[in-house]
Amino acid sequence: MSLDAFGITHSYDDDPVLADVQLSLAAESSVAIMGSSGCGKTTLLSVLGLLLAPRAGTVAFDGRSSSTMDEPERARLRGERIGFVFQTAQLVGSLRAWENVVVPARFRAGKAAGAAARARDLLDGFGLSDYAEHFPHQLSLGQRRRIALARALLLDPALVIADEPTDDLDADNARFVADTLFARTQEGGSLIVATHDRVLAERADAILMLEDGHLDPVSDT
Amino acid sequence: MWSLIRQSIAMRKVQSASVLVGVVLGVASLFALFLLYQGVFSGIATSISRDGADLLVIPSDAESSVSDDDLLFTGAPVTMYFSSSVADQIAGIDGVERVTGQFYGQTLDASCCSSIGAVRLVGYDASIDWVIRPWATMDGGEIPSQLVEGEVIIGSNVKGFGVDDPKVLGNPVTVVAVLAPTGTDLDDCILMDIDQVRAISAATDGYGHYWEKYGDPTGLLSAVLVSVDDGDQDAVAAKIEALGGVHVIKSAEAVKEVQGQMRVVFQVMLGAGVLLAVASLAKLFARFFSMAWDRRRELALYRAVGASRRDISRLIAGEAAVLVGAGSAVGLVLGVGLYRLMLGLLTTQGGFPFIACAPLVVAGGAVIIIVIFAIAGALAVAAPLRQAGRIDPASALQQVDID
Ligand SMILES: Nc1ncnc2c1ncn2[C@@H]1O[C@H](COP(=O)(O)OP(=O)(O)O)[C@@H](O)[C@H]1O
Ligand SMILES: [Mg+2]
Repeated sequence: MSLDAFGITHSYDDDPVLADVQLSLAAESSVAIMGSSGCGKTTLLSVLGLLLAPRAGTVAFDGRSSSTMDEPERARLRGERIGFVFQTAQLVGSLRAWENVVVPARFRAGKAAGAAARARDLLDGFGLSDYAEHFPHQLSLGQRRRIALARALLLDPALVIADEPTDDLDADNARFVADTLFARTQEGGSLIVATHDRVLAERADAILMLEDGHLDPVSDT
Repeated sequence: MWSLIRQSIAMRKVQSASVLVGVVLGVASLFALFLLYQGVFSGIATSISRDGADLLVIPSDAESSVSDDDLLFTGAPVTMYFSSSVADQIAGIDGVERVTGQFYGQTLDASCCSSIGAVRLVGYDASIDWVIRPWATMDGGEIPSQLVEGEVIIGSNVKGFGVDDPKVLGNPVTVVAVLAPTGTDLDDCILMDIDQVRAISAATDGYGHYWEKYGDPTGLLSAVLVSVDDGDQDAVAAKIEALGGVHVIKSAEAVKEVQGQMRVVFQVMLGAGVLLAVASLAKLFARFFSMAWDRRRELALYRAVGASRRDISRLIAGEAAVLVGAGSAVGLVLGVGLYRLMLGLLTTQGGFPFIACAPLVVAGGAVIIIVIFAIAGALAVAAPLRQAGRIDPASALQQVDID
């Protein structure tokens, strides 16, 4: 899925965070967004993922502007075409590991049937087969983040948006997460990843730097 | 969606249980109250509309053994007698329109009769009676103008006469009519011609001392039912009292007394029932209001991974519907139990006319109560729903984990 963002401007109260941000992502490609803490990476990803309506600007998916979509349609797009990997695992404490993975399918009529089996496959592939029935509080940070990753990939989204997916993780877990995300771009998925991990960023097709509300390409060094 | 609802309820066991218990108690108490209220007031209304006796005259020595309101509707057949000449004297009083006598025989049980459980044998004169006649049910048969030997009329609770050769005290009998439920002891009576009951009683072992005391049963009555011309009941009652040896019960006063007692009982119960219902709805509201707040991060995550506003509303409304639905179902069943219990307690306090609700009325009451709770439940979740609708999916990306 291709994504085009034009003139994205956002501020919280009177704090400007994004000023006229442009971004284009071709289908089956990846982009890394870097920038210091607090520069607005999460805000930008929220706008790109239709979680946050910016003060100005539009986001288009495969050429279709989100401003022409109604709320249920945007929800469906989020559910079916976009997978989110949040900065923290954001698992639901009352649900078991596999139930957390299956959450996106719960809101998609017709997707529930195969979802449990697909969740088990993902957990198996992530080395979590023994933890499917555990609740989040019984799991380590690395395990929780892998479960969150499985949830993002459950419905095989065309675009994955990952917000500092390797932050806080030990080297093994970080590599696993990065490998999993970039493996998908080999299979035709698009990826937007915010990170301040230079090594991770360099695996992307392009690196952009967010600074003072502006998003600029980083010249390759 | 359904599994999320189920898990959410299961996960908050204490909260869910307290809401559930609240709904169960609210529905049960309102339903029980409804059934009792309907039963008592249709009983009273029927008794009045059937235009029974205005005055009931009983021997004054029987007065202490029963209270007035017992006697009014039931005739509470106790073993008490006076001379049948009393009826003629009353008939002669100015303002008396009609008079009919009853003779209370023995208590019958399965050892002697087809009936199951204890029933009372009552003799009356079908040719002049106007009190019993209107209670004959349409399909229960028409009461003949004169009962002949072996013909009986049975009250609505009298069972065991469906057999081929029903018997009373060893004598074969024919059931000519079944009475509609009156909610009184009449429901447990077998009625026969008065002279036959007198003859049976005269021959009954163990009743000899009554006949020594009162005289030969052929000249005795247990009660005289009187209807008064339009006018002064009190004056007529006073004249009857003046005959001596009799006690007069005025039905209008007795009805008022029963109604008054019932009204107090119902006001207390209604207060308790409404309080319970309101408390359960308040609990429902608190539960869902705090739920939407406690779970805003979880709901935000659902929004982020594809739930629309409508999905979130459905989730909350579904949870409320499950709790209210299950609570109402259990509450209705419990309500029937509570109704039986309260009816049992009330009947030990004295006889009063009671007619159990028809199935249609019961179903109607159940539907009304469910609708009330559904509407109140919907109102209780309206604010939480609005709150949930405003949940910002972007907050899912903020740092803290969901607990
Ligand atoms: N919901 C919010 N309300 C107000 N200010 C916010 C909110 N979210 C983020 N901010 C502020 O906006 C700025 C950018 O935040 P964020 O997008 O989270 O940056 P990053 O992800 O790059 O650390 C920060 O100064 C932050 O304090
Ligand atoms: Mg951030």
